[in-house]
Amino acid sequence: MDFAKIFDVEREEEHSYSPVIRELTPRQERRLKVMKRVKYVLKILNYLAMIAVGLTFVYPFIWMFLMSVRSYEEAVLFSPGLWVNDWHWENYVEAWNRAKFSTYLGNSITYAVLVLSLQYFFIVPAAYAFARMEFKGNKFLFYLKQLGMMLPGEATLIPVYFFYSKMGLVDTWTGLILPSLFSMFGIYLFMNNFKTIPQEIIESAVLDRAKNRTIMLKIMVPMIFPIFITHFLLTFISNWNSYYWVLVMTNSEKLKTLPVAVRGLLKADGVLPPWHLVMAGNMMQLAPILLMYIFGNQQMKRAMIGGRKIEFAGGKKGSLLKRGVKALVRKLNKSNVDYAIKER
Amino acid sequence: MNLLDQLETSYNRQVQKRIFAQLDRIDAARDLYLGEKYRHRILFRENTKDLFVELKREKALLKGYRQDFRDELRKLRRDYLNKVFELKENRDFGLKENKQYVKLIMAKIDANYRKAKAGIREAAKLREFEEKFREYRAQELGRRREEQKQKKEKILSEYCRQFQELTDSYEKKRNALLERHRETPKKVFRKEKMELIRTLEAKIDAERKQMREAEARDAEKVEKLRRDYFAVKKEAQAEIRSIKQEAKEKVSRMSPEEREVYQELQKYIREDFRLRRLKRFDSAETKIFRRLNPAYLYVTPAFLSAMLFTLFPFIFMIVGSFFRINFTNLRRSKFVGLDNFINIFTKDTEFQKALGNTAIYALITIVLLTVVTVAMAAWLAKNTRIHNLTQTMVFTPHIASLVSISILWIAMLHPTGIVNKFLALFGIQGPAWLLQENTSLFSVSLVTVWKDIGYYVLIIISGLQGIPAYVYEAALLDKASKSTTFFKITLPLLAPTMSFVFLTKFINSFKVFAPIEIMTNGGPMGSSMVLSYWIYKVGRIGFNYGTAMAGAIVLTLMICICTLLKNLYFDRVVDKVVKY
Repeated sequence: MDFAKIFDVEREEEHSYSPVIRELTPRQERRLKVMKRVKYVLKILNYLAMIAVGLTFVYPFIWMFLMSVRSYEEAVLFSPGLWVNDWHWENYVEAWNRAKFSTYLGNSITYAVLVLSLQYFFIVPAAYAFARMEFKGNKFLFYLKQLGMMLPGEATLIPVYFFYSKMGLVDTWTGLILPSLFSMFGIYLFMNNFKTIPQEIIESAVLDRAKNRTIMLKIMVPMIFPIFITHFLLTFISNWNSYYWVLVMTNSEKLKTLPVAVRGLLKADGVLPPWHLVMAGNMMQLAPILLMYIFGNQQMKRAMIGGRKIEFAGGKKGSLLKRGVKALVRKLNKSNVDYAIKER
Repeated sequence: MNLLDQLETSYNRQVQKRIFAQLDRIDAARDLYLGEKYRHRILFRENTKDLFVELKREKALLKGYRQDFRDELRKLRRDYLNKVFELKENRDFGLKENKQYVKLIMAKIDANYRKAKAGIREAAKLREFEEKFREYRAQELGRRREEQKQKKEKILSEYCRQFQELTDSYEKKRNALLERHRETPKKVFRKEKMELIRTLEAKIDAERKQMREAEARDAEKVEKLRRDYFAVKKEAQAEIRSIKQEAKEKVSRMSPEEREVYQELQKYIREDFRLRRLKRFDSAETKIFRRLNPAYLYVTPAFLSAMLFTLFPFIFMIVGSFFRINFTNLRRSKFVGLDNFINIFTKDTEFQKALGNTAIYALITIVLLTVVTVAMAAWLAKNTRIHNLTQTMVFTPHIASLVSISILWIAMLHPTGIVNKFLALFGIQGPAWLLQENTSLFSVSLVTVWKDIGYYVLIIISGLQGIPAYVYEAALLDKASKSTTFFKITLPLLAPTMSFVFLTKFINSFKVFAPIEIMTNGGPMGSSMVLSYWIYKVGRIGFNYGTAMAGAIVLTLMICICTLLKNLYFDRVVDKVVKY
């Protein structure tokens, strides 16, 4: 017996990935069928489990809504069921009156509108400068802004409050909206998107003697228009939900916004909070964003995870909003092209 | 009739021409005045243009002394390090291959043995075969091991030799470079350059002095021109006003048809005026921005905000933590040295609790979040309608504000609330969650995790979708099981994204404020007190500014150290990725 030949270790083994075709025995066929059925059942169970897990995240909101329409006696039982004996819609009216919601709602809307309308005047030029222009102190300033992102507002609270009180900005709209106008987040977002635009386009514009202002407003901004919608949505949500800054930088009731008001409802009445009213107030504060989420959840999700690429089922076709934006951008580009042709 | 001809012969054009004449008059007077005013200055600039260029060059030379030498040295070193890295890589690869060599051979022998054994039916033959096989195996293995040992030594010695060679050549080159550049001493070079610069500056100063004198001589003339210019301007403006008035009166006397024609043409005239204004504005703009980079205009607001919200508070915080601060009158604040820090670290038990709790909270949150999120993302990463629906549902809490979530969960975590009722179904007596010392912090972190799961699941799913499909196809060809694919392929490929996201979250959870403030107020007996809430409580409500700022510095230090470590780690990771 020649062992060296049997155990020929130097020989390379043949690997073949071609499929082997063979006939199945009836028993195997039956087994395959059963396996298929088991797999189908498992798939359905998996889906059911998924929906159950999903419900644990949605159920509290539904329960909150039901709590808000129960009477006080029913509400303090914290019954987990989805049954309501009498529908007390007047809870909403009472919560509205007790927490002076009309003022706070006005404040919230003012806050959001002020920030949303003013921020782009500061953010877009700064982002453009950081992304596309060269100037002295570029890096220093950028690191300073990054440090600002790193330094928590919770830590610098006292010095900032001191400066505000010396400058007379406490309890004013100016002071309240000031930090959101130059937020590093927005600058980052726009900067990254400005950077994706190819350099050739800008060079050709420079050859046509376009100024920086023209390049920014007439070329770059239309090209990244969808980002504006994303950013608009994000800032609206963060503004509507902002709590810390408003709590810290206001003393009087004059400027406080909805989240602070709802919290006031919770902690107003001594020991036992009126749960039905608290939930009603909470519901009113949540309503706009929740409604937005119900009607545009795909867009909201896409916007909230910040431009990361992700594919959702059924999202390929594009929603009405997205199609509208696309059409708008196409129109803008087309009109620019027409204009350029006419010029020549 | 052609529109242009009509425009040219119309009354509107006559009025416009008269106005333009007045405007040109103003411009001429202005040009005269400005030309006289800046004549000497322009002359001076022209004369000293070359001098300035030279000065700039000399200064650059002075600053960049031996710049090329330094660059060369740096390049040499970089090349050397790269080569060493390559050598080490080769060595490691060789060693690894060598190590696996014997294992591979053994596996092959065993496989073949099993095959051969199956072919033998008789017991005697089998015994004989096995005996022989054992002999053969020991012999073969011994030979292979010997071979392996030799090969290892060879690789190591080869590596040592090459490394020595490389180092020698590098040192030789470096010494030669140093020797070559030792010849020009720095002092002499500097002295020469400084003298040159000084003479150049003196020349420029002399020119400037001359210019000033000339300007002083012509001051009266310029003043007269200035007065003239203003007089002309006033006069011309009055003239324009009267022309406009005249035109208005004439139009009011026109017949309706004529007026219609007039107004139609007036549109073009207005456009003309607008273009003229635009042109002047553009020229002024280019004049300004030729000197000043427009980027400065763009970043000024950002700069001011960075000063107001970052730099000044930072400095103020550091300085202020050494004082007992009086906010109404800063002069009266007292320097107390490190007392604030000593106090909070030795006497203030609440602060110590807060410090520990912050770290514990961040750890609990991040561990819970990572485990749950990765598991759920792997589960939900398919692209079907049901998966999508679940993702949407899981994402819901993220859009709500922390305030509403906190209020909602106060009700849910009530001793008789939903959570405890649900636990009671399984016969578990739930704790009092927020009202109990040992569970309060955990409850708060549970709530924030519940809120954030949806967001991080989506982020990780987007990372999963970014992994190219061919990787999984290759794994499928190698018949890897699902769990192997997940642990050996998905997780390592996902690790950079995941660690970045979760480290950021970890750092962010040092700043937790709203849930603590609403749900526990620092908790029963300070069991859920965290640093940011402590700062708010001591500084904003209790007015102990110095103490609060000392605490704030501790928080800032924690965050900064973590961020720096994170950045260092990611720089290294990125470097590695770039190198390969």
